[in-house]
Amino acid sequence: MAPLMFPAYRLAFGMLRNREEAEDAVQEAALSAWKHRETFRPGADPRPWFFAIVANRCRSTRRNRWSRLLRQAEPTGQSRPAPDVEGDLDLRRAVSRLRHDDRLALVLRFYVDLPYEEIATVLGISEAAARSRTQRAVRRLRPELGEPGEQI
Amino acid sequence: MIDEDRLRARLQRALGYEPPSPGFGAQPLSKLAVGTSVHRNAEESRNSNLLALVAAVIALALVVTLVLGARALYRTQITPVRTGPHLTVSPATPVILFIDLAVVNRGNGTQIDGMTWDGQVSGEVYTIDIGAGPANSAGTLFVAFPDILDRSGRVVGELGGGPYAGPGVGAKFFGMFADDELHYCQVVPFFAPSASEVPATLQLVTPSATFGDSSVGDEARDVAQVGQISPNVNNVRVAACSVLGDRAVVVETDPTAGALVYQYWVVQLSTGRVLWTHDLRGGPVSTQVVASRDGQYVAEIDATGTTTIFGPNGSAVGHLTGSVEGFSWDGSEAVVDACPSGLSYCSYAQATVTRWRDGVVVWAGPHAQILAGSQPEPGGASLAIEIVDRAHPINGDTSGMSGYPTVLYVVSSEGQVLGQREVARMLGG
Repeated sequence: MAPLMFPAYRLAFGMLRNREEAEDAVQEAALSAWKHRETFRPGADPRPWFFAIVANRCRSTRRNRWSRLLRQAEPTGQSRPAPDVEGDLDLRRAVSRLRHDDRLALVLRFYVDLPYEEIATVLGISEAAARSRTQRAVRRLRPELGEPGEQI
Repeated sequence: MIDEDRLRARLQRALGYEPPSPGFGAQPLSKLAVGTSVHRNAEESRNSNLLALVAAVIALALVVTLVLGARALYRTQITPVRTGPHLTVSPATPVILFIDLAVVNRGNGTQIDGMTWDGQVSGEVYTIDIGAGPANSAGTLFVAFPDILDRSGRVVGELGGGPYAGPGVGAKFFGMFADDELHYCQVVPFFAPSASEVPATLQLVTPSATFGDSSVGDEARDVAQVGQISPNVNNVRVAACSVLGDRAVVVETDPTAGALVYQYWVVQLSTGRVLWTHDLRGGPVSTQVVASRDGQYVAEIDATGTTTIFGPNGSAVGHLTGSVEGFSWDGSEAVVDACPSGLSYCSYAQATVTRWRDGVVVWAGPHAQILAGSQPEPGGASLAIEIVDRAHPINGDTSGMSGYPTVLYVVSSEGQVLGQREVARMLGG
C-alpha cells in the first residue's frame, strides 16, 4: 500500500483542495482497503481499486463538510498565486461545481495523469464511457478555460 | 480541439498542490491507529484563544492522568499470556477459537487455542503448519486451507476444487459457515473469469464428511442467482447463512472498491426465493450491511455511521447511533461501534453491546480502541468481542494493523465480562 499513498494523496488533494482533508481521506481509505483486502483478487493491480476507495472517501468528506461555513473561502497554506490568479480562481470554482463523477474523471486524467483504461477501472465504467465523461467535464469548463473546441 | 497538455497545465496550476505533512505515507495505518483524525479539529485550533488554550492544557493533564491510570488498571486486567494445556472439553462443546498472542510472540503462529464460553476453560486445540481460519460459530470446525478440519484434525471438507480451482483465486476460504455448524454458504464464482461482470450464484455446500466418505467431495447446491461478480474484487458475499432458520443474506458491494453496498437479498435457502431485497443504488449511501445469525435482522450502516435495522419482512424495526458490527445469537443485542454521527472514524470509537430495541447499553469496551469483530455464542446469549489494543504494539511493530494485539472479551447478555485474553486474532466471527 505504501507506494500508492502519495499518488492517492494527489488524487485526494485534487478532489478536496485541502491538505488535512486529503490526508484524512487517504488514511481512511488505507484503513478501508486493509479491512477489505481479502476481497481483492490476488495478483491484480491494486492502484485502481485503492483510488476508487479514495474517491469514495473524498465524496463522503465533501458531503460531511459540516464546518464548511466556518471555513475561509480558500484553504490556508496554498502556494503563491500565479500571475493570472483571477482566471485560475474561476477555473478552480468551476471544477468544484462539477458533479463528483465528472470532477473525478477530470482530476484522474489531467491532475493525476492516469490513462483512460485505468480511469475506467476506477470509475467502474467502460473506457469509452470514461473518455466521454472526461470530455463532458471539460465541456462544462469551457467558459473558464477560454477554449473554443469541444473535443479532447 | 483542446490541447491535452495545455489543459493539463492549466488545471494543475489552477488546482495547485500542497505536499502532505512530513511522515505522511510512511506509516499510514499506524498513524491512523494512534492519532485518529488528527486534522479534524485543526480549524477550531486555529481560532482558539487564550482561554481555550488554558482549558486545553487542563484537559490534557486530566486526559493524561486518566489514560495513565486506565492503562495501568487495564494492563492488570489482562489475563497473563501463557500456553495452556490441551483443551479438555468434549469435541462437541462450543468454544471460541483463537490464535494466542503468546504463541505468536514465540514464533509459532499456527497453534490454535480454544476457550469455553463461560471463560473458565482454555487450552491448545490443534497445531497445524499453515495459517488457519475461519471457524464455525461453535468452534468445532475450522479452515486449514485447502481443508476443513474438526478439532481433532480430521478432514471434513475440501476446498481445493470447484470454484477454488479458478486462476488467481488464492488460498483462502470464501464461504460462511451455517448455524447448524456443518454446512456453509458461498457465492460463486469468486471472481469473474472475464473482464466484465458475471452473474453470481448463492450455493449451500455440504462438506464431504457428511457422507462418511471423504472421496465423494463437497457437494454444492445452487440456491439462487443474486448479484454480479466483478473481475478483481470479490464483491458479492454471504452475510448470513442459516440452515436452522432457512435463510441467507447476500450482499453486493460496488465492483471497483467493494466499500459501498449496492444491494442485498434475503433468500430462503430451501427454495431460493428472494424474501425481500434492498437496492441502495441511487439511494442513501450504505457502507456496510450486517445480518443476524439467522438472517431475521439486517443492519444497514450509512456513511455517517448510523444504523437502521430491518426485521424479518424487510421493514425498519430499529435505529441506532453508531455502526452495528454484529448481533447476538437471537438478534436481540447488537455489537455497536459507537461512532459519532457525521464522522467516518467509526473504527476508532468505543465498542458497546446494546439492546437495539430500547437502546440500553449493557456493556461498553475501552474508549478509542478498534472494534475488530464479534461472534455470538451458539445457542446462547453471550458475545465474543475482539478489540484491537492500540496502546501496545506487538514487538514495537506499528507498520500495519496486524502489529497490534487483540483483546478478546467474552461478554454475557447482562454485560458481565466472563473472560478475556490477549490474542493475535479470533478465528470465528
